[in-house]
Amino acid sequence: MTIKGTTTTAARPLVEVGNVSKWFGPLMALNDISLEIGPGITGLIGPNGAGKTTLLKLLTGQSKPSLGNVQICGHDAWLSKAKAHVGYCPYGDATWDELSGRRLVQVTAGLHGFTGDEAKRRTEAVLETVGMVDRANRPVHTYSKGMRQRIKLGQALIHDPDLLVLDEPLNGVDPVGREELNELFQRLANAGKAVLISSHILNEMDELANHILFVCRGKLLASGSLETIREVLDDYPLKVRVSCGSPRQVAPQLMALESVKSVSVEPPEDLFLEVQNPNRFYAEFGEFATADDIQLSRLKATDTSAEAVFDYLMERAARPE
Amino acid sequence: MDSQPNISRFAACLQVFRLTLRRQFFSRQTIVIGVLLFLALAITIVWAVPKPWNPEPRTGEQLAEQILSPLFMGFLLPLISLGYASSTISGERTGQTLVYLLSTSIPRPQIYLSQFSAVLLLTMGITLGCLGTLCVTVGMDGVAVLREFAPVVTLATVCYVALFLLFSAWLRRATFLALAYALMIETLTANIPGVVKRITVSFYANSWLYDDSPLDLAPNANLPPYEPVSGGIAVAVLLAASIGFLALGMWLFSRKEYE
Amino acid sequence: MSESNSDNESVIQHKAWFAAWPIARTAMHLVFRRKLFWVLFALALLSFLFMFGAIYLLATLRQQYPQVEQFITGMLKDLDGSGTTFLNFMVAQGTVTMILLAFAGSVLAGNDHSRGGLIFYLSRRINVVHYAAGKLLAIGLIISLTTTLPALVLFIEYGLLGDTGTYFGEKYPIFFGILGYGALLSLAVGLLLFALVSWMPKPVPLVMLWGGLFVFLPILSRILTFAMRKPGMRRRDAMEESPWRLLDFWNDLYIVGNKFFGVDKPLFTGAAVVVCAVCIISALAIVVRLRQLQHQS
Repeated sequence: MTIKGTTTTAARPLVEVGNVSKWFGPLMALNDISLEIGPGITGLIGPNGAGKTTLLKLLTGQSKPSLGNVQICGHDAWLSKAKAHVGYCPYGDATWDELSGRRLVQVTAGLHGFTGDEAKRRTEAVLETVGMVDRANRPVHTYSKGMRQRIKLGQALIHDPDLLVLDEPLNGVDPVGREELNELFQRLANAGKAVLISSHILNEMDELANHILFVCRGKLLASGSLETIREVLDDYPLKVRVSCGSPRQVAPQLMALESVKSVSVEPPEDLFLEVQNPNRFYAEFGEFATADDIQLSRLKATDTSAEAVFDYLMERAARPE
Repeated sequence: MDSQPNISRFAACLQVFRLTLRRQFFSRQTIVIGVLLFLALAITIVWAVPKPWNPEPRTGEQLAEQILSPLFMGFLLPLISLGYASSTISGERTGQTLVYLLSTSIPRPQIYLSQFSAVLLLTMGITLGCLGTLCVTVGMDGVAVLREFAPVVTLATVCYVALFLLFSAWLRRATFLALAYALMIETLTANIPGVVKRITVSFYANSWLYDDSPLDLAPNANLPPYEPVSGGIAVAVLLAASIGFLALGMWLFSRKEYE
Repeated sequence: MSESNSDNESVIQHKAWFAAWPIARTAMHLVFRRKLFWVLFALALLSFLFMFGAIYLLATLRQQYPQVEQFITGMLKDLDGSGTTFLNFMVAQGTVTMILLAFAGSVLAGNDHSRGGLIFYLSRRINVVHYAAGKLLAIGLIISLTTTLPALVLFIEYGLLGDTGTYFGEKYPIFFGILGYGALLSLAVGLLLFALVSWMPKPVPLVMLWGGLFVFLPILSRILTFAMRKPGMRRRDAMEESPWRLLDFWNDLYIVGNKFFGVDKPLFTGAAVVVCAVCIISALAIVVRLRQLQHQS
């Protein structure tokens, strides 16, 4: 069962993936995935090994689907016509390390067919965009991880692509850098570009993406706007730890809340709750904590990791409709 | 940025060519090749200098027989070719930088052709330069030898580069297969009677050298039977093999999915 | 208390030497799972199969046509079952062993050095010497797979297909000769390979340098031997006696290896000095490089 939201745009989408499956020998990396991506920021989320990179490789024409088809701006993604519309920032750190940052971006401009002044103009513009102008003359092998990410992003932007595919672009970037790059992604999206960002960190995409694609074990579990996904997550059973002075007294009162499924006491002062609907639970718990004279020292959700959410979605997908 | 870029496919291919040339030339293999060439030249000079017990200057035929055939044709030529050609695509692959070339809008066969041109230019420059330098050590006699060897070395280099680049497009560890080919197949089959030796590049290169040469380059009749083909056939086979390897490499590179 | 600590240290140090085997086993596993290794190994076994068949054929001829057998062994000294038979077989394995080692060296040690895998080993209770011992053991075992082990099989075959009791009774020193020469090859070539891989982990330059040592230098050595030959000296004598032959390291090992089979060759002292010098320089190069890498990581 795939949860579908409102990913499709009125105009023809930039990316159309139709019933794509991909095998690597006996391993099924992608299983009958169909999706469309239009302008704006799309987050591709899944735990490690979910099939995100395989999907990105299909979109960027690095590999071919075993079944189905991938179209970029109406062209088969494997063909060079499609690649003219795509900018790709791969996951690894590898680049042509012996070159300087400026030279690397300029070489990429050359690889896209830009020459002379046009190549130089684009190089400077891109370096400005990614905030690397002042450090661009250093060889890439002297760069930190964050600086490498920026230069890699620069080379992906050099030909002004309609679709920007970024494989974990915030990996290794410091918080200030993240903020800057997120603003850049937002600017590109506002300019009508499609920006596809893969990540295994749910919170990273929370603020950034307009659309989310959940992938797990090769399957597309959910796709759509954040609102749609959140509605899905409201059914997600959350585990919460509450610390208070007298857990044995508080436990029956918490059990009375509608959203709480079970309570277990962990002496000396912890309670573990399993709640059915997190949004409702937080509302009820707020009222509960202010209404009664209870001393609570801590409230913490213990399994909000992306993997736990994906496990839930996977389990949900396996249920009969 | 402009949304209507004025791009040139030729310029893009030229960039692949320049990038490949630069990356291959500024590499450790160039240092190793430099050391080997220096040693080869030094030994050739020692060999060529008249000795008190042998004051006669060396002849072109001696140069061809004692230096060029075993040292240059038998080792340096295939080694220089494999050093550059086998590391071109497989090197980008193991260094995880091939993705940057493959995600451009240049069609894959054109990327392959550009890389082939770059490696060929580099290898040809080094092999012909080395051949010329070795030949001049024996003076004017060497110029005649150079005239005999240069076209053979040129075509053999094209063939080796096309073959080893094909290995490179095919396998991640192409260098080892190329080494096994260059040092085992080429050497061992040369001494086997019959037609097995005809699978090697060196057989046709040597056949061309032996055929109709003003220098007496053919091997001694007492040595294992070489049974060369005619010069015309040798040239035709080397040309056909080069084109065949190149076409096969382009086809393979354009279809293969690289991790 | 301090005495007890020192005892513990000594036990830990002693146990660390046992880590060499798991390191070697893991390294060999890394090599064995590559298809290319098996292709090269199959090439290496070709001459073994040829020799195996030839020995069988000779044994059959010895029974059915003794004169033909005598004629053949008279022509082909390499098949007379003496120490030379097995020594020459091990020497003939040189080219393919060299190619196999270039590949194995790049996989089992080169990757550690170029991709920072060394720190994984050194984060355990072992130091660079234990690590190097493990890798050298792996290289030595791979060399043995293509040289010592097939030579032993041929020796046993030769004995079993003939007058078994007499052959093994008289020729048993050959068994130790094969083991001794195998150990020399494993140690000297292993050290040299590991030193080169440590300083040049990338496969292409490694292959070229390795090819330079085992193909280029022998060619140069032959050119110089003939070029510097005194008038009247026969080519065969020059090949045996010219000091320029010492440039060929595989030949140096062959000269020293003859001693294990009770044969004295000219240039023995020079060859022994070259082999010892290569081993010592290689060992120093390995230690210096590993310490350097250890500090970098």
